[in-house]
Amino acid sequence: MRITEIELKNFRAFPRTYHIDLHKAGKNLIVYGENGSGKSSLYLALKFFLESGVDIADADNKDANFETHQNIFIENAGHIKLSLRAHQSAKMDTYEWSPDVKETSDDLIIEASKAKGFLDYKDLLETHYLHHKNPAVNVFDLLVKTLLANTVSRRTNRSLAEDWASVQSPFPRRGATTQITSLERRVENFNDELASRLEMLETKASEILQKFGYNVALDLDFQGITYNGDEKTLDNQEILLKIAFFDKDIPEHHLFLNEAKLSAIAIAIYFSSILLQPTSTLKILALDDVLIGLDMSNRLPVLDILDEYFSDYQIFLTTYDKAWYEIVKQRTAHGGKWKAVEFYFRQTNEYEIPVYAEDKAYLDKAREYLDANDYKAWAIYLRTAFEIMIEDFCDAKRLPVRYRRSRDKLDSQDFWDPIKIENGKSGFLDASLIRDIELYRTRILNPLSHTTIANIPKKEIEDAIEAVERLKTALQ
Amino acid sequence: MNKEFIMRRKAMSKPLKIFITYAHKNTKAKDELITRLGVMKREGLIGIWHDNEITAGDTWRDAIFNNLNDSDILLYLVSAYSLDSENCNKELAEALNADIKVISVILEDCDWKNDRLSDLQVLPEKGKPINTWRPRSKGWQNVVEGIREAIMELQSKADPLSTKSERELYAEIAFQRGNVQSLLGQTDMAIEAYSNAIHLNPRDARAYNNRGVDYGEKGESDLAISDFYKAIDLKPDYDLAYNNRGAVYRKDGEYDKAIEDCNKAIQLKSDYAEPYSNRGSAYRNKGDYNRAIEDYDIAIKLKPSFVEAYYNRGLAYHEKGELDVAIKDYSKAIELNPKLFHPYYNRGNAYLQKRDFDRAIEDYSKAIELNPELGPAYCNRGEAWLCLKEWDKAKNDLTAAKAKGIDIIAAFHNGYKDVETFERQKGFRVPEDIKRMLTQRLRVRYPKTRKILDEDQKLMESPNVVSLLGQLRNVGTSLGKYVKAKPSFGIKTSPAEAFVVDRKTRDNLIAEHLSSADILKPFLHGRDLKRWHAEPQENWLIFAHRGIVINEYPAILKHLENYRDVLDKRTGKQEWYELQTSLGKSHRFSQPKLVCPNLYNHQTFAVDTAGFYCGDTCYLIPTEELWLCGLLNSRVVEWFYAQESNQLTIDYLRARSGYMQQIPVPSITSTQKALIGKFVEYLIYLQQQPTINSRDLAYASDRVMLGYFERIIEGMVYESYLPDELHKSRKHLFQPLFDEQLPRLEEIQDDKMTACRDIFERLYEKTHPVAVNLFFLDSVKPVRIIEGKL
Repeated sequence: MRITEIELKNFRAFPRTYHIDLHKAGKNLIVYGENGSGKSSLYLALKFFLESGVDIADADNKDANFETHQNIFIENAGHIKLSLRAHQSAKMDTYEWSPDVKETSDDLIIEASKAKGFLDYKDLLETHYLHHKNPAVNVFDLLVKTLLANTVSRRTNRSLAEDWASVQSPFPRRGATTQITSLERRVENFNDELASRLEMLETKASEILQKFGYNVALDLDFQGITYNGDEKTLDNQEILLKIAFFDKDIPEHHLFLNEAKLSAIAIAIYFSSILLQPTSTLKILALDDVLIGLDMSNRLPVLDILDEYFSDYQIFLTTYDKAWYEIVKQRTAHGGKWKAVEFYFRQTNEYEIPVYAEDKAYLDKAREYLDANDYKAWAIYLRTAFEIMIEDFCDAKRLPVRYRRSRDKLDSQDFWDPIKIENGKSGFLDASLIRDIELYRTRILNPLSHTTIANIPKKEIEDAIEAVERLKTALQ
Repeated sequence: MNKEFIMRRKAMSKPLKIFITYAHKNTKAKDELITRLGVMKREGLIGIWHDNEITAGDTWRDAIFNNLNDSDILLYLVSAYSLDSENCNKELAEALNADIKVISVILEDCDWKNDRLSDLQVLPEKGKPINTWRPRSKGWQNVVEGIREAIMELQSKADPLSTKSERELYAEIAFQRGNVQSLLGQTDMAIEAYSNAIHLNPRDARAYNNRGVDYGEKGESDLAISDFYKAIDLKPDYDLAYNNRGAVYRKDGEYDKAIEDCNKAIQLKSDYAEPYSNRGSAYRNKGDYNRAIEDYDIAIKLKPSFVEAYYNRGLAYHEKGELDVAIKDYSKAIELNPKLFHPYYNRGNAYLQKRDFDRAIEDYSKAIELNPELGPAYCNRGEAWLCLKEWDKAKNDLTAAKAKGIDIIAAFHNGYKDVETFERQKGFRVPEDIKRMLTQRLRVRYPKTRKILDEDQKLMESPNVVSLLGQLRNVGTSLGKYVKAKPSFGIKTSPAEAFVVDRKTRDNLIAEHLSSADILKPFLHGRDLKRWHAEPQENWLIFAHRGIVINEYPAILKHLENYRDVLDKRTGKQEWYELQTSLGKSHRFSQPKLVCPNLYNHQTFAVDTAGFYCGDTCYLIPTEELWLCGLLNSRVVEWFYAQESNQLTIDYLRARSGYMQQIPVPSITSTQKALIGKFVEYLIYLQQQPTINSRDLAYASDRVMLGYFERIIEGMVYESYLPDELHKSRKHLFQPLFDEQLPRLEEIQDDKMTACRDIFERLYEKTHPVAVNLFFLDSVKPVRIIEGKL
């Protein structure tokens, strides 16, 4: 079972309807986009869609409510639709999640959610704060609160996070023997569950770690937490990560565990935890920016690992590293199993979709906000309109734009300059318009100017809008 | 508590404060004196205060007394006018009371020698009135010189360094530093300074006393008390230390010790107000309000400005229920020191009790103004607003109280049983949102499905729960009908010390007389029961049923006679040596049965085939069908039972026979029952294995195995109750388990533990249909409801 189409409408960063076609085969997806471009919105769309099937009776769980994710400025109700096929020639079923329709309570989705793997870069940030206990590292928090939090105990049918919560405060009063005994029993259960899981993880994770080229065995040493009734604390929150070397010639144990390797270990452990659980019919693995913590030499093995261990999963990768994106794109070009898309920061379209369909809207918005005296919003909309306009013009005319390593490093200067050069040849912009744009480009159409924009007289603002409108006409 | 400051003033560098008392007719003379004191003022020796310095708007009397109390010397300008002035006399009295040095300056001939002034220092010398000196300036000069001498004397007193050894000098300095820091509220630094002083001069009782006071302030009672002990050791008649130790004892709840110490302090110094007040408080804490009030009365008499005594007497009256008198005392305390928030708060409480809500609100507001962190004041003001139907204000206050850590629900329930009772009492309805704030959020065993509001805004179960309950009720037949014999509770064994004996007593009884063995039955307490299996604690019941011929059991009779007193006191028709049970009922113990404790946290049924007798903390279901144990220990049954018997709100469930017998027993095939029974046998076996009973994490997976086998039974029970739902979602457990052809425990020839581990490993394999189906079992909606995930 694979996802063949994704349709998003008014969900987080996607204001309109966006359609991602993963073809009948239900390809894997690699997404490039800078921060805030919407690639994380796609990740979250998948995650919340899957999770929305189980209505947890918890009013605080806003994520299960579609309205939480809608853009309040847009009146049209949004939706997420996933279309699934069991195989290429099978019938396509579409499941919708929106304020009005909820088809995610189907067994298929609920089970997919329980067995899914979703990891984002924030989950790995913790590897930076790990407490080194020479020569070992305490990974208790990383494992219990993050990496293994959502894994489910097969005997209690509860997640580790729930098990962990069940031994948390409020701790019983001193002398409340019944409650203390009960807490101690929960602590024992927690220890048993975690210890037996770690034992299985060690083997699997070591195996995966070999693929990174580290010829080491992981040892996750957990002695069990203990309840300290005097201090009312849970002591020994410690899982010591130790490394056993097969190659005898690496003497410095503690030097081995640098951040990059810890990231690799964390990923190996996370992958193992998924692999140790039963799998659902629809298997989704999504990694949002998680590979950025790895150096390039460790990223390529991840592709091999995905290939080897998760070949029956549908994989979604996102990254803001353009170079890495290109590598993945190139590496996965053969075999037709992957699709690559790029998101840009303004409206997070796939590149096929014409960009300037939006610009009128931005200019209108700018005027609306100006009327409402919201200078900051006004300025952002006007600048966005301006930037899209010149960028698209350059694209359309294939004007030579200065090379930068990554497209998102380009600024309006880079697009405006070639337009001026082009104008020098054909003169399609009149001199006064160029002068006005030059003036406002530094004063108003400049991302750095927004904090002081309130000081600009309204007349000048209106002139700026008018200049951009004139430019728009001229460029068309 | 009282601190010892050996001198009233200590610091040389600080100008002494001089307060001038005079009659207004003598204003000129006062001005003349101030001019002549100008040099000393410029030298920084003195600061002067007189009533011209009261700025408009100050409360005149308060300002005067505050300044007076803060002064070192009171200069009393004596004339016929001042002797006659009520204000002058009050100021003088206050100064004398506060132990301030008083110097009289005689302005003119008048009757001062018959006044109390005659005992005090008088200027000019020999009391020669100013207006008789020629020139008059000579007289003034004499006064100024006299004052300068007095100042020098005061300061040299304050400067003890001159007479002591170097070490003692340093000790003294440290002690004084402690005093200063203590005054500034720097308790920790003060303690350090006192400790230093003690180190330098270990015989200084004052330092111990003062450090004790600071420890007491910090709540370090043990340290404080040991300091006071030391102080008293060093100075056995140290009234202050006794009083202080008493105060700390009282704070710690040791009221008798507190009273004893206060008595001692009073005995040492009978005109000392503090110990009376402290003793009063100890009596008050003991609930002896009359004695407390007597003591406060004395304290107030001895020290009419004793704010705390008024306040405490108010508390005593308040606790006694005499609200009006209490309010009077609180008001007096407020009058004496308007900066204290406690009296306002408590007066507010008294008004609230009197249902004088406006006044109560006013007082709470004042208390909050003085101490914005006073959570209870917000809470109570909120209650007052509620009574006035000021919903928004009430809500704001309750929210604020909650934010300050007040358990507003508990506080509200302290006063009213619940919101409904409150509404009935008041005759109006409280808005729903406030009601929710004040309603106990019941602790729910399993997070239940969302409750919904019906048309009357009453909470009711969601349709999911209602319909699932209905569905389960109609499954198969009820437990009461399914088991042939009637379930029941065990035997009332109290007094247990008489009827339940340990191994040693049992052996003695049998050794004494063999007949004892006939009526000594192996015995189970409710607390001996674990899931699946009982762990008897080697107890025996003396089964002295009704109609027993006790003389046939002489050893037992002798044993029971030791408890004759208690046994006689029992109600009922039985003989003193008899249990409240008959011989005829013994068969329900000897036959195979399931037993569960009368109170339990989670379903805890154990199989007993050994014929244990049970106490009334056990509930017995006579049956030999092991699979029923699996059924009854399942979450389905726990959920159903908790819902039906309406026990969702507490930490434990109580066995209630009526509801127990209503538990539906699904109709399944005998092979299915046998399969569940096999796992029950595994579990009984596992429950007794050392690795399972250890806490060694090396055997964690054995304990996980036990849990997993329980989950397997759980799965089969779900399938028994809800076959259609599970099968629709392609969840099968019986079938793949049949396919495994698992042996019965007794059929396992080799090591049973190894065999169990093999079975576990096989069924735990992540691709095994049992593992997969169990893992995804909660995609079935009723399972989600029962497991609290919907």
